[in-house]
Amino acid sequence: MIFKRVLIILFTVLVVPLFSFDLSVIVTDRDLDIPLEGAKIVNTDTGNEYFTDFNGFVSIPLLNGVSRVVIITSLIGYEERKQLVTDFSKGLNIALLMEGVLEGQELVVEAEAIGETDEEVGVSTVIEKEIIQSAAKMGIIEDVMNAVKILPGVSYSGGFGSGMSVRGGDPSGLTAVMDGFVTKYPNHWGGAFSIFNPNIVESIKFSPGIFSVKHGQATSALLEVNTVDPTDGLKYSGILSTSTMEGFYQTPLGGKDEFGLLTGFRLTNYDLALKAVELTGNTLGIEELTDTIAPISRAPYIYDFYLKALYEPSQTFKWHFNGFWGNDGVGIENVEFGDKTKEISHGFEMFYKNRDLFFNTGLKLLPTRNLLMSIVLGYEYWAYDVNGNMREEGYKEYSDEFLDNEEFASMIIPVGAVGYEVYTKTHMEQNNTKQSIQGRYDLDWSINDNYLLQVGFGTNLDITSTAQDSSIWAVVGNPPEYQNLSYKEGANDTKNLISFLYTNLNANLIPGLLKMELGVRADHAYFMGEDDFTLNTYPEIAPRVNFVISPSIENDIFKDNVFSIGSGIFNKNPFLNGGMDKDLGIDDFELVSEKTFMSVLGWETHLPDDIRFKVEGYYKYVYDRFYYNRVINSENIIEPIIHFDGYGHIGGGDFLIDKKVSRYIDGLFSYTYVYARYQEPKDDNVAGFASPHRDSPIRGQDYYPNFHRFNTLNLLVNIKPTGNFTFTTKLTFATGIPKEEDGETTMFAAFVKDREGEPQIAEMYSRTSYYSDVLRTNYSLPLDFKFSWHNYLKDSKYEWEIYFAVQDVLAPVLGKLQPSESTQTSKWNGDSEEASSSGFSFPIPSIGFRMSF
Amino acid sequence: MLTVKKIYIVIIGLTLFSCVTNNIEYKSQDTLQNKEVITLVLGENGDIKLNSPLIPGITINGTLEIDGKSTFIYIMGARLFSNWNHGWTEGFYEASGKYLLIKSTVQNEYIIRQVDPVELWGIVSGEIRYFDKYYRLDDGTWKVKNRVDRLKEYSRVLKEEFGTKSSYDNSFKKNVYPRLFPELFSLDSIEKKDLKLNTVKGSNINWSIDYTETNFPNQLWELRNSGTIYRDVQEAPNLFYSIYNLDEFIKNILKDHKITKVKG
Repeated sequence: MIFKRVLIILFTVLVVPLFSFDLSVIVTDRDLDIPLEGAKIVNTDTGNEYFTDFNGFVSIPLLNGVSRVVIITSLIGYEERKQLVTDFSKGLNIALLMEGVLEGQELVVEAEAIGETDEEVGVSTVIEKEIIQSAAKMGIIEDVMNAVKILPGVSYSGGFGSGMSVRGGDPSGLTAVMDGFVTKYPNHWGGAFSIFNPNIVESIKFSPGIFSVKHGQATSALLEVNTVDPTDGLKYSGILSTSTMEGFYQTPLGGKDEFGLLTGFRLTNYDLALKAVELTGNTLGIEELTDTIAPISRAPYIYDFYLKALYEPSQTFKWHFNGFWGNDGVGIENVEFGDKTKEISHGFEMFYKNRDLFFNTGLKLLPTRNLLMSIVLGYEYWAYDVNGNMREEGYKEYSDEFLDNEEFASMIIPVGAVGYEVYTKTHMEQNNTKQSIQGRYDLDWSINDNYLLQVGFGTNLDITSTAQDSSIWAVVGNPPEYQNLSYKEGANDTKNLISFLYTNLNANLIPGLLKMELGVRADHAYFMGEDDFTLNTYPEIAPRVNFVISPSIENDIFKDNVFSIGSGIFNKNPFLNGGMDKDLGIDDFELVSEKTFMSVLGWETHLPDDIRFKVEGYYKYVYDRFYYNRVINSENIIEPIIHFDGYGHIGGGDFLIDKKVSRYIDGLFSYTYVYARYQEPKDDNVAGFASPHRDSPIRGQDYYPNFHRFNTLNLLVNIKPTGNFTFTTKLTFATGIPKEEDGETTMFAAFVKDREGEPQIAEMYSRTSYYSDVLRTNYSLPLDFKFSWHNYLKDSKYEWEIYFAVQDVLAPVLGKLQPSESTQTSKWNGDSEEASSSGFSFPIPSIGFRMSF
Repeated sequence: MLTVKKIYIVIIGLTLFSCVTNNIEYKSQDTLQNKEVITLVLGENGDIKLNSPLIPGITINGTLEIDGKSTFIYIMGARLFSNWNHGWTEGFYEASGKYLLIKSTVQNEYIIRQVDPVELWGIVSGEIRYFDKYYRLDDGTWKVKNRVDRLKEYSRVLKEEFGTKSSYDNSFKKNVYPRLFPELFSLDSIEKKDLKLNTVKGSNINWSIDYTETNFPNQLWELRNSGTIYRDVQEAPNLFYSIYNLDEFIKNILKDHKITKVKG
């Protein structure tokens, strides 16, 4: 009996504890995330088999003291899975993969359009990430606009202060939207570059055609920039080059990568680059180089900071926050005075400073499968200042020709006077700030697979302050007198409220053959100026329709043919600078928006060897254009007279041939032809003096606008002879913009006060210039290239790149071959002298190093 | 329980391998192209990492444990990694295997002896970087799994259908690449002009349909003609080389191999 008890105790002590705990296992389908019933689990230590229940659950008894166990899970139709278990403190989830044939899902990036945007012939072009990588990262400043500027429809623009004209439209007609938020001024250096750094941009959609009524306040084109998704893995990069230092860091946060954060900065400064140019010019004896950069007193700079946060816990909820702070500026100075006892010298200094700060947030909700709601709210603060001083100083003797002139002799020249003294100071100061608060709500309703109805509304409040205080020296009156004219314009916190409402229908009228986008938009503008001055306007109605036809006609050469035809009205509100007041004499409902009626015909096809060909032709009628003339009142104050009856006719065509990104060679070729004639009908009898807005040169007859070019041709080629070397070259050829015709230089006498304020007779010269329908500036031929060596470190995720790039390499050659671009006549001796040009260019080499993860 | 276990392993590591604080490193006495055939690194917490130039795209992970008087290496997983000019492929796999670590009579010399061979199991996670594009989470895992499965299949076909052998040196490319891609690498038995008669374009390369259908099993026809095989090999060269040689490495090298402590 005792022996029996001992045996029981021994059994209890030795055997029972061996099975003293269970391992809980749940088996699920990895893709569908559903429990799998009947899955077999084998404990390889014991050979025992277990099967999951309806909930995919099974409990496996394990021997006490075991530190590891191998289990094999299998189920018909699924891949067998073996698993080593060492942690028994918690249950085990086993996800099985469906058994399949050998998967060939390769990375077909060649055919992949990146981003949430879709390209449509007759409407838009989407720039893929790889083109952004090559074209946008050319030259010394990486900028996505470098890629946009080579697209069809865009006329060449380069240099400081150059706006981008799209299909003959005014540069101000281009509107940029970043993640749904309208950026008022996304530029640096007056439009030479943009704030859109390629390192924060996922895709760009450029729409010079009949774009959706969802977006307004754009008369020539819409640029939609989609920034990167920071939940898309850990990435960081650093760039150090002779002109810039940049850093970007993005990381998903949280266990499921639902939240992501991106930060970045760009610190660009031309100090070193200009020194390199100066050194090159001096060493090689190229005076054009040293002369061009000599007046730059403050090297151009750009300081940008970026922030983005994204939260996307599910496919039905997405929230983002964007922040940006940017600064740029440049200083120019020329104070080289000659012999002040023999000539009248002049000097100037000017400084331009621009700041932009904005933050915005957006929310996308998918409450049901066929309903998408979107909200965007944001704020922007933009300010720019221009300050300048000019000085004229010296003494000049009368010329014999002047003294011998009988007409001038009738003016009383003091006895014994043989010359005159000039001492003038001119100051110009311009300070502008604009604050913008905007919000919009969009609703997309998928009625069925073929119909999508979109409705939305929003508002934008711009608060503008401007102050311009200038004293200009000019010859006025009869007898002529060289005198100081003051010019003051300004307004404080004027408000411009624009509200919009739209509805749009996307319809697959004949699935696979005919699509239609039909929409209408209403924009209302209300102005609140100083002293309780307000202006109301009628809502502007802008209907648009576009048809896309995809016939199944194709042959060996032309495949996937798509045709488009569409028309629409595009407008932009007239409160350009906010400086309106009751003195202008404009009443409610007299003010109208500037509008463009546009019709586009398009064809896209795919040629052999993965080459795409896209051609579009268009006609635009621009009307209700705003312009003003300046008149001088009785107090010598310059006043503007405003009109809204300017118009223009534009026609043209452009095409694109591109080869999608591939491993050896890719690129694009685009050509743009534009014919654009504008007219401002009224001259207010001040044509001889007025400095009309937008530099429109004449009144009452057609003219080519100052941004007009007939032809622009772009070529971008990426050659990758080996996997780790890329040679990129970008060439643009553009015919010139309108140039004025110089008239005769005439000598005249004018009263001018000396330093003590005593009047004296000055010998002066003037040269008239006339608008010319024929003359054009020199053609432009900027050629950029970049050699890049890049690879990953051995067995590492770190990628390095060393590059050498030169921007506008042909500038010095063209400078020698082509005639001088612009001259001016000295008002004191009648000599022609070189005039400064905003489009000046010089080659800037850049050597850089990039390391990224 | 785990903490006690880790302490236990560390203590054993300290006493058995005279480790103070740093990792201990063992290297094979055999070399291939001036590189030791096996490098075994023992971490302070008992984790081991095993690398070899024969399988440069695979790092085998495990733990070192004492069982009585014997020291075992338990293989628990493997990291598969390979990069190229424009990206990389990374996968973490579950794995098993058991090896004895025996101290030889020669000072600092040990012998790795197979108990259960290394076996790669299911994929745990995977990521692919292609230019600036990331494939991560389920998508990345799925793509890595498919790529590894395909590379295994190419290796099998090469050995079984083409009769190529494992090659642990530069001859790998010479032996294998021309058979997979005679259009790009000269293959003596094929006339270049014959490869241009009936072609299909994939990944910017014209692939000979006749060569594909004559030499490859059905399931690989589309993969070769679309350029998928070429992309897999180009984008993960080390992984292909490693997977191709992995079985031979396990059977012939890792089964019984002498290593010497060189550090720690």
